[in-house]
Amino acid sequence: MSRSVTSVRAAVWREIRTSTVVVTILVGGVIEIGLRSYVASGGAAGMLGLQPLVQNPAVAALYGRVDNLNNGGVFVVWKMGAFLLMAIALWEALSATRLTRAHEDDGSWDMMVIGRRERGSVLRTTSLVLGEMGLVVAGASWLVAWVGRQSPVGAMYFALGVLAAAWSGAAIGLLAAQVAAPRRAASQAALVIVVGAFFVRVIADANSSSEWLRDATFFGWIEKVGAFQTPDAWALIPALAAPLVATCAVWWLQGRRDAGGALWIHADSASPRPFLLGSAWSFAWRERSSVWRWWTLGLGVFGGILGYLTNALVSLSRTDPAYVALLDRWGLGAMISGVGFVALGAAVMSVAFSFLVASWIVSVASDEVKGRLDVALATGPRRVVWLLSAVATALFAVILADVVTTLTMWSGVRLGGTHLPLSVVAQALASSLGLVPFMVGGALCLVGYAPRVAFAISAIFILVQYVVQALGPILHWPALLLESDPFHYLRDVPVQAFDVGGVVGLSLVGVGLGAFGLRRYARRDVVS
Amino acid sequence: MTLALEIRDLVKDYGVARAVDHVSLSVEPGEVVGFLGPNGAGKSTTLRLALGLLRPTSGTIDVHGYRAGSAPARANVAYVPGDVSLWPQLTGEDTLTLLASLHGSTDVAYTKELIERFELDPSKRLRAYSKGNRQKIALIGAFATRAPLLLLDEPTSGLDPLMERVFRECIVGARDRGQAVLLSSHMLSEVEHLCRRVAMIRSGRLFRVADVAQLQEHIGVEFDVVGDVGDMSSVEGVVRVETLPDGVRVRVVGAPGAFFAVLAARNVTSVHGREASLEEIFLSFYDETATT
Repeated sequence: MSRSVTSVRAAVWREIRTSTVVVTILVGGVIEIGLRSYVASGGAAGMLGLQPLVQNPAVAALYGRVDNLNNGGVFVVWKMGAFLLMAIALWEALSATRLTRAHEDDGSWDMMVIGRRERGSVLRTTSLVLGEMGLVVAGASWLVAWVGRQSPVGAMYFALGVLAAAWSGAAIGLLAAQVAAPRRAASQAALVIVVGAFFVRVIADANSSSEWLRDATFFGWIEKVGAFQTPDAWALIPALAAPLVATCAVWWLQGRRDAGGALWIHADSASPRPFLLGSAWSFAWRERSSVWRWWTLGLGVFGGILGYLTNALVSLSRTDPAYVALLDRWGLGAMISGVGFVALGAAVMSVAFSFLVASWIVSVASDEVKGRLDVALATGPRRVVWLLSAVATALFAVILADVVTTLTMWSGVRLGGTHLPLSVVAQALASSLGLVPFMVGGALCLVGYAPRVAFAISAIFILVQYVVQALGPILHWPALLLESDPFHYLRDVPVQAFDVGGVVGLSLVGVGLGAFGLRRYARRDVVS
Repeated sequence: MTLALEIRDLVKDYGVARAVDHVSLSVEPGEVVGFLGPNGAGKSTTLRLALGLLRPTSGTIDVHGYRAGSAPARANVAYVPGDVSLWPQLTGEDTLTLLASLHGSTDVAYTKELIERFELDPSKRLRAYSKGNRQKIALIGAFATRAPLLLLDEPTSGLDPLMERVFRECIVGARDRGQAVLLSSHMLSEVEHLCRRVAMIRSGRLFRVADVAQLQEHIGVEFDVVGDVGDMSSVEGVVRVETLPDGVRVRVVGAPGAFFAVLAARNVTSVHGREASLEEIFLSFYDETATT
């Protein structure tokens, strides 16, 4: 390898090393937690109650097909595998557009390809680094499963599945970066392809007539590998070869276009749209309205699916006492009724609502760090007004999203054959907004005190706190840890009574944090 | 008369590093002041302090009598950053509409005129603009406010010579209307053309604030003398002598009578005199302060 390429490789690695470390730790952590949950649930014997659930078509569609839950590895594959693989594929796809298309957009790619370096060699080096990122995560997956006393061979197949998901995501991201520009369009295209592939796999697993669709996407190929079950090594061939072939196609494509260009370029010109540009308040909505649309669409669809599953899962629990016993052990006993299932589903939604609010507000910090606010804050409204406009629109956005999700979940419940009044679903989803004041305060505090890392901290905080709440009781974590978690104070309304004291207390903490954050934001230097 | 900008004993520290060190500077209405200094000297930091984007460690800044960063001060100022970063999904026209709305006062007719004069296509999205075109957006947005004080941080760094000329015309127009301008720039010919007064900063310290004419006087006049002139170094007013193939280059400060008297007595073929450019003045002062 020539010296110049080595330095490009170092530069690319430097850019993604932090996210690689974070993702590797998260993936390893999720696998470890899954294995511990399996043991805590009574192992293979304890899982017998779940067997009907595993065979349920609706559940199989969402989680993927497995034979039986007779070891911890297959439990991880079933319970977390589908979402883990999608998260890894999305991360690699977004990393690929960041490392290629984003640098072409901002011109830094031009600096990389001067002198002895050719565009092709820089792209190949970037592709290799993306492949190495997948190897790191796959290696960690194998190690955690092996240390967790799972079959080394099963762990190897599992790790190869993780590798295939990572490489597939990278290939999709690289391909999207050749086809679409700017990065936002390329990333959206990559996201649509990955999520679309996931839904094709969902349809494939929904019934036997559509089973052939398992051969249409990398999710289907990975599922057919059957890690920790009866493995099918042949299924690995398309899963690992397809991304390699696609990457070769990417190398070929880049030689047939201009540097900085794309095969399809998003329109750079547009008619003027003065709508919502009249004040900081209205612009706060306009700037983020496309984010709100995607969030609401996603939450609405998820709510609808969850509602639709209500009838099937509640019916199952009525016929299987072992399943009910397992749910009780997991602290999910409320799921045996339609109201309880909806209440638990709405509690899960609280994570998304919290993240929507927090990311909405901390986007002010992202704009600030990029220098976008310099002119606005130097010559326009007060800083506090700018930040409060984000808060006001975040509240508006989350309430609208909650209303839409309420309607889609209720529609799903009705379509699935369960008759619940709209007010039940509305109560459940309204209570899931209980953490919003706390999240607003926390986000304001981060904008005030740590603008450069506000997004990362808020995302990790919400994720970790939710994991603590979801798994802490199952794994018998200390009560102090569970009680320090904001999600602990959300109840499964209307099955349980709304925890007025806990939520009001948290909201007061949020108000305090928000006041500190606003005060700091008004007085500190603008960072850019 | 209320000063357009009054900076008094300004200090800005970042931890143990001092970015701005006891700077005092004022700009009168209708005055264009050049702000010169090498990279990292503290020019942008001083401007951002004057805009209220940064908080001073000590010292005060008033914009038309109002404390920098306050609402009335923000209403009286317009700003062009050196590296314009705005919302990439908005078109140029939408961006100008937004900036006008946020500032609160904008001359719409003048905005249209400026769009034509700067030959800007306002239908493009910000992400599609070159650096120069993004700079034009910020310039149009700033000029169109007719704000009494313009703070410009290397505003022409991405403009072509034709657009630089338009920029200079706009500055002259602003000055004639009574607007004050603090112009940070590395384009010394531009500063020389536009500014009566310049302020020079190095390592956070303002080491010279003076009229350009005064500086030229201080630096003196340079003469290229052709012929056999002998030793000129001891002549009154001569501060530097440089040997040329066919004569000498002499810098004279103050009244040149003694210099010409000596020349008259020597065998001189021709004499060409030239005032120092701002670039030479800047380099001369910079070298001077660097050695002290």
